[in-house]
Amino acid sequence: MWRLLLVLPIALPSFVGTTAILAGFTPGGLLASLWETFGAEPPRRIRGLFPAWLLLTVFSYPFVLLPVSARLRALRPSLDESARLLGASPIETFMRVTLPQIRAAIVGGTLIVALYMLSEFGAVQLLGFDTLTRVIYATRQVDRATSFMAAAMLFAASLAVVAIVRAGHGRVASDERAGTGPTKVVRLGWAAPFALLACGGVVALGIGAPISSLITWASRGIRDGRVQLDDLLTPIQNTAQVAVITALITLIVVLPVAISATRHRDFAGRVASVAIVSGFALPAIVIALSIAVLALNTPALDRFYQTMPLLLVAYVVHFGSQALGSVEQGVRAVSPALLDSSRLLEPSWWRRLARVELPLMRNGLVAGGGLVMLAVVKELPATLLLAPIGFRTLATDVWASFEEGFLADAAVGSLALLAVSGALSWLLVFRGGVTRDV
Amino acid sequence: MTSDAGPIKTAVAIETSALIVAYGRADAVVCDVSLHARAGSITVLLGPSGCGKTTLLRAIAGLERPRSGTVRLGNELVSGPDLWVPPQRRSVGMVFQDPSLFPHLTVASNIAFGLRGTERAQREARVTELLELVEMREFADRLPGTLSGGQQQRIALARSLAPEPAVLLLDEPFSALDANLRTQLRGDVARIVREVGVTTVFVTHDQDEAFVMGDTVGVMHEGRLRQLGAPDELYTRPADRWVAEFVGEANVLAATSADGFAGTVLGRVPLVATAASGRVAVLVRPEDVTVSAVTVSDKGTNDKGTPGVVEHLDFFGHDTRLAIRLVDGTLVVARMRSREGLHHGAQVAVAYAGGSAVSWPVA
Repeated sequence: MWRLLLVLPIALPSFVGTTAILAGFTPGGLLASLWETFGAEPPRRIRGLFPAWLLLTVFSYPFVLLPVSARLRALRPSLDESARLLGASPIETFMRVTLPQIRAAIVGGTLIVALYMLSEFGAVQLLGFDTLTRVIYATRQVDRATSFMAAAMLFAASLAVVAIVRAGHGRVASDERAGTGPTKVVRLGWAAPFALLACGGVVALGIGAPISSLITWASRGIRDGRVQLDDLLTPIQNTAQVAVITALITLIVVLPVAISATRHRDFAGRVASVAIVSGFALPAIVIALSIAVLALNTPALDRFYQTMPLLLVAYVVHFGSQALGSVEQGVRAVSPALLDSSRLLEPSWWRRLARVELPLMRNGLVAGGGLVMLAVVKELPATLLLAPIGFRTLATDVWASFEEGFLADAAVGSLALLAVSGALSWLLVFRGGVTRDV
Repeated sequence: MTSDAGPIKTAVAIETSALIVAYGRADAVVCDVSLHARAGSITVLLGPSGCGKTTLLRAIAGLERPRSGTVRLGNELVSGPDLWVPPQRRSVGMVFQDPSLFPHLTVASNIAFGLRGTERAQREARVTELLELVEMREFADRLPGTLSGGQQQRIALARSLAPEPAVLLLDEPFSALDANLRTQLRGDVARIVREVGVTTVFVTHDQDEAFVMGDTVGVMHEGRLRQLGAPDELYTRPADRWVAEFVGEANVLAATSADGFAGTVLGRVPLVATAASGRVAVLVRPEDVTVSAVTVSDKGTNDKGTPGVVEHLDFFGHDTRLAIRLVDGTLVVARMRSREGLHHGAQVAVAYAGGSAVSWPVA
C-alpha cells in the first residue's frame, strides 16, 4: 500500500499542489483551521525559499523514489549476503555494496528533478520566489532584454544538467541483471514507528493536505452556489481536445524518427532523436518565449501568434521526447524477422504498415501518446504565453482563478485536473509500466 | 601448482542438532536436522530441489534464523535458544548459485573485500596468493561483468577463502554452468578446498557431483536428513527405498527372506547381516544383474537364470542399459559391459551376480 501512496504525488502538478496548500492556509481554509485547533497562529504569508523548497520536494521526490526502488528490488540478495559473510556489518554493507549499486539510479533521478526545477514555473510564481522562469514571465512584454537574458541563462543551465546526465550514463559499472527469487521482507522492529511516521508525513504533505484542502474549498463553493460546474465544461473540452490533437501530431512526428533511430541507426535518425530529447530539456517557458518572439518578428508568421497551431508546435517540440521512449519500444516490438517475412507476403509498404507494424506497435504508441497527453494536461507556462486569447484550459483556469482569489473555482478546477491526470497516470505508470528516458 | 594459501589451522567441525527452520508461519523447510561435519572434511548435502538443503546451508551461515535447534561451529555455539550470532561474525565463507561478485569492484578488490583491517601489503599479497590458487592471476584488474560464469565462480571462491574462514559453504556453485565446464570446475574446486583444508559443506542436486566431491554425503528429502554416510555406503546400503532410488538406478524386488537369503524372481539373493525375516523389498543395482542371450540349445532349461525379453536397450559405448520384462511381468533394469547377442526383443536369461544385498521389511 505504501508503495502506491508514496508514488502518488507524481500525479499532482506542482502548481496545483501549491495552489491547494496556499488555499488551505488562507483564512477559513482547512489547514488554517487545523492550525488554530492546535492553538497555533496560522502562518500569514507562505513565500520564499523554504516553502518553495519544501513543497517542490514533496511534489517531486517520486522521480527519485521510482528508479531507486526499482533498482533496489532488482538487486540480487546474494550480493548483500556475500558482504555480510565477508565480515561487513549491515551499515558497512550498505555503504560498500548497496550504495554503489543504486548510485546511478539516485543520480539519474536527482538530475531529472533538477531539470524539472529549472523549468518550474507555477509553484515558484505562486510562492513569490524569484527564479529565472519568473523573471522571464514578468518581463516578457516590458523588458525583452532581461527576459531574453534570463531565458538564455536558463537554457545554459538546462544544457549543463543534460550534459551531466549524459556523462553519468555508463560510467558506473552496474550489473543490471535482475535478482532471482523473492526478496526477503525485513522486520523493522523498533524502527517501524519511525519509518511509518516518515512515510506518513511525506504522504500527508504531498497528497493528503493538498487534496483535503481542495475538497473543502470545492465543496464549500458548490454548496453556496458560487461555483457553477458548467463553467468547467469549456476548459475540460479544450484541454481534452488540445491534449488529443497534440498526442496525435507528436506520434506522427516521432514515429519516423523512432523507426530510423532504432531500425536503421543512421546519423539523421540519431540527430533527430537528440533534437527531440533536447526539446524536453528546455524549459517550456523558454520554448514558448522563443516561439512567440519568432512568430512576432517574422512577417509571414506573425498572424499565427496566439493561435492554436503555434501552441501545438510548442507542445510537440517540448513533449516529443515524452513519447519517444515508448514509441521506440513499440518499434522494437516488431522483430526484423517479422518485417522480412511480411515483406515477402505483402508487397505494398503502407499496407504492411497498417496490417503488421502498427498493430504490433500499438502498445508503445498508446503509451507514448498517453504520456504526451498527461504532460499537456499539466502544462502551464507555455499555454499562458501562447494560447489564443480566451482559450481556457483546466490549467490556465486554475491559475487565473487563484490569481484573482476565487479559491473555490481554483479548487474545483484543480480537482478536475487531478482526476484527469490521475486517471492518465494510473493507466500509464502503474498499469502499463511505462519507462521514461531523459 | 603450489600455494601458501593453506592449510587453514582453524578448520572446525560443524554440528547442527534438532535444527528446524521455517519461513514466516509456513511449515518448516528444514525439519529436525542433526548434521555433523568433521573438521577439514567435505560434506555434500544432496537432494531434489525444494528439499531444504539450501535453507540448511543458509542457517549454518546465519542468513536464516532457525526456529529451534542449535548450530555449533567448532566449540562455539552460534545459533541456539536466545542466541544468534550474525553472519558477519561467524567466520563463514560462502559461494552462491548465482555469481555474487560485486559488479562495481575489480576482481582484486572483490577478493580483498573481506580483508579490511589488514595492512595494505599483506592484503595485496593475500589477493595474489588466492588469484594463483584459482589460477586467475592475470584477471586481477578486470571487472566481474567481463568474466565468464565459470571464471566468476572461481573468483567468488577466492573471495570467500580470503579471510581464512573456518567453514566454507558452497550452494550449487556450478548449476548455472554447462556440463563440460562443470566437470572441470568440480575437480578444481575439490582440489582447492582440500589444499586449503577448510571444513566444507557443498549443496547439490546432482548425484554424480555429490559422490565425486563428498567425503560424506547427506541425503535430504522434504526437509529431513534421510541418511548421512560415505558415498559407497549410500549407494550400497541406502537407508530406505527413496534414498536408494535417488542416488542411483535401482531394482526393488519383492521377496521373502529367511536365514540371510531372500527368494526373489531372480533367484536366491544373499542379504546383509542385519536383514529382517519375512516379507521384504530387496535392492538390486542394475550392474549386479547379468543378462545372457538364450540359444536354441538352452531352451527348456533355467540354469542361466530367469527367462525374459529385452524390452528396451540403450547403448552408451562403455556399457549398455537393458530393460527386461521377466516371465512374471516384473521389469528389471540391467547394465552390461558387452551387448553381444542382445537386441530389442531378444529372449534372455537374467540372474543376480552381486554380493550381499540390502533389504527393507515390507509392512
